[in-house]
Amino acid sequence: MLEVRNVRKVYDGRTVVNDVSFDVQPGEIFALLGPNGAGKTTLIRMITDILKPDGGTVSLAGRPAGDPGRPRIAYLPEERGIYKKVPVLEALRYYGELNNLPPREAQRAAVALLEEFELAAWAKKQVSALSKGMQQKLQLCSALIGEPQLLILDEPFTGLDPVNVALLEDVLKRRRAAGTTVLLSTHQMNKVEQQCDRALLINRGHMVLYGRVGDLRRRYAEHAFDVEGGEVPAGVPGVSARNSVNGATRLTLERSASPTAVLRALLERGVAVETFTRVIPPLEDIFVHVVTTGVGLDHGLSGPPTVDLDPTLGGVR
Amino acid sequence: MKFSLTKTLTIARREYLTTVRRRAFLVSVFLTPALIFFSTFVGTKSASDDRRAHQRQAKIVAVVDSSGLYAQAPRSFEYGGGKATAPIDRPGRPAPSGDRVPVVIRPFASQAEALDSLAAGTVNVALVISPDFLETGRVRRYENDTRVFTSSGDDGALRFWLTRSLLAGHTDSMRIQRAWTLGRSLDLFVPARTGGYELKDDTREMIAFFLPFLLGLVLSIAIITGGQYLLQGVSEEKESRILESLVCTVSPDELMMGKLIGLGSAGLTLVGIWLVVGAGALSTSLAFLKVDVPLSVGLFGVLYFLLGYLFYASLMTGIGGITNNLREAQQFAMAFTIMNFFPFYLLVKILNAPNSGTAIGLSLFPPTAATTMMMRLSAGAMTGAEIPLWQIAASLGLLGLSAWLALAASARVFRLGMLMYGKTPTLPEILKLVRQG
Repeated sequence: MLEVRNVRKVYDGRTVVNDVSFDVQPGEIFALLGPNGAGKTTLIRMITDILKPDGGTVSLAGRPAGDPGRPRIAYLPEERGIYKKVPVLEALRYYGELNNLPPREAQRAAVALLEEFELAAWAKKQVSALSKGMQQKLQLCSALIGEPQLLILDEPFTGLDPVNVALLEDVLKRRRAAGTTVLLSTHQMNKVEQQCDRALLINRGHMVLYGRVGDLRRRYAEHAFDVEGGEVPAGVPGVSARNSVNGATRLTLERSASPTAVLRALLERGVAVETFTRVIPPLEDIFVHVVTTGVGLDHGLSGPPTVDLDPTLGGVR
Repeated sequence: MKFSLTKTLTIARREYLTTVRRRAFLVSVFLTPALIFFSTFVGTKSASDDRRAHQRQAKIVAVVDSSGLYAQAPRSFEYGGGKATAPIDRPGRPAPSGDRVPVVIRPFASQAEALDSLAAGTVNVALVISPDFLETGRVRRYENDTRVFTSSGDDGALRFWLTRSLLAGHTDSMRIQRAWTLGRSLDLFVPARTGGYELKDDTREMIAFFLPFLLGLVLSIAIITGGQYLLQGVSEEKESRILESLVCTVSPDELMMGKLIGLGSAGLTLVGIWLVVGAGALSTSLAFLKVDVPLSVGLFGVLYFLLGYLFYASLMTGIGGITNNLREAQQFAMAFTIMNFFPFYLLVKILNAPNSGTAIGLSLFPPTAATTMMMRLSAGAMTGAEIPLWQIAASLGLLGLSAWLALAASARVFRLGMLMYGKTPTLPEILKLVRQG
């Protein structure tokens, strides 16, 4: 669906996006991650053809980003607004018409979206009368009304209560099932773990992590295991450290130790092992580690779309 | 992104409907005419400088006295500008302080001779006193006065001379009664368009002033109101980050054109209401006074509105696009708003001399062209002063070219500036945006 190749953007001599390349497959939910000021918004603006790259290409389904025949894109920016002094239905219908829907069709689509987002009762109220969370949902409706093929959402969960977060997650799943591709930019890493297939992390304009979310986490997995079920005695061969974490015992293995051998040793020592699980760090920890240590900032090269660029993982060329 | 007329018209329709439904629009419909009415009084005050200058001019008066009442009247005196007078019947009395205008009286045997001298410029005024002056009070003042706006104080020196001389040494009731009527202005005759002299009609004179003033004001307010709608709309949408959501769906050019069309139409609606209501209210009076405003004034008015609006609205869009909020945008826009209204500072000069260098210069300078030309055209229609066609063509051409340049530059600035937040760019940075865009 989306193909970004060696894209670069320079502002006043400062490179804010530096040689970034990635793909987003049709129907997937893709996470675009990065700290504040990393260049995510600039990258999104180049994808949506609001900005032109200074180098590289952006194409959608094989067409340049500025091509009138490219797939429909909707973009919900992080800082977003909506017309306040108009009725909810009228505001939404207007967005529908701007998305090339005939007036009657725009009306029908607007009504359907308001029902889907549980806003139908507010259709005739002024937008300004809605709560912040409701306005947030209405903004999402405005992005969805044109039935985009690529939906770009920047921090869509901000301002929503847990019930509405669940509602939005359901909506995204339904859209994805219907074939919509989603590019999600968020700082809520748990949502990325739950929702996204793959992720790209950029830092200071450089791409520093890229791949399947599960693979990235597994690659950052320490040589450690959590044991539940019994007291682990000291002196187990192959174990270099033993800590208690959330009611389990975390065993850090020596580099050369085999997990199978360690498990066997535990059983031989009479430990009633109920679970023996490799410790996989949450994405948030990986994000903090990568950003604070500056991992990947010195490679200076673009990577082929499936290579993990963190040098500590051996994925760097 | 390909330019879509459908989207542009969708935006235009929304902008139009949102604007005309606003309470502020309805207030403008009624409040602006009230403000015009108020500013009319301010306008008449500015005319007083011109009037004073006219009154301070030394006067050589050709007097044709067919009544014989003024045979012994003084042949020269000084007049104190309406405040105090130099003695003409009591020479020993000290002269009053303040500006004094010397007045010289030259007797003439016939009206024809006096008017010839007036035409030749050897006298400023001709005063023709009828044989039955004492009974009827008939006296005519002739002047080559081309000003649209005259004043009852212009003939103060003459009425003063007529009154004092009439009463000097005489106290009979007829003279006192006649002196009493000399408190009113003398009938003024000025050169007619068709040759000869005609009575200067005060009512027509007022219309000749107020019509250009009102049409100029309506035009300039309409232009600025449309521009302000754009400034406000773009600023608010930028500040509330609506633009950022929209630009993925519509191109900046579609957005800008839609706004220009929609808000320009709202401006036209506003002016249309004023003109229809104004014409309805004034039509009977104008018909009674046999005042007909040529159709060409109306047609040129529409042309000047469209080009003037396009010029100012383009600038306002650019300003709205590069500034961070409405307050900042209004500060930027203030200079342009003042420029649009600048011709009103020179209103009297423009109306008194519609073909003067100042009037022509302001007509050719795009920021002041629309307002000035509207004043000149309507003043010309009232007074017969002809505005050369080449000046209208040059003025429209320059304004059109400037509007096009402003539109192109603003589109570039708007395209890049609408997503810029934080520091407002400086002028060099804006010029850089224009080049980059």
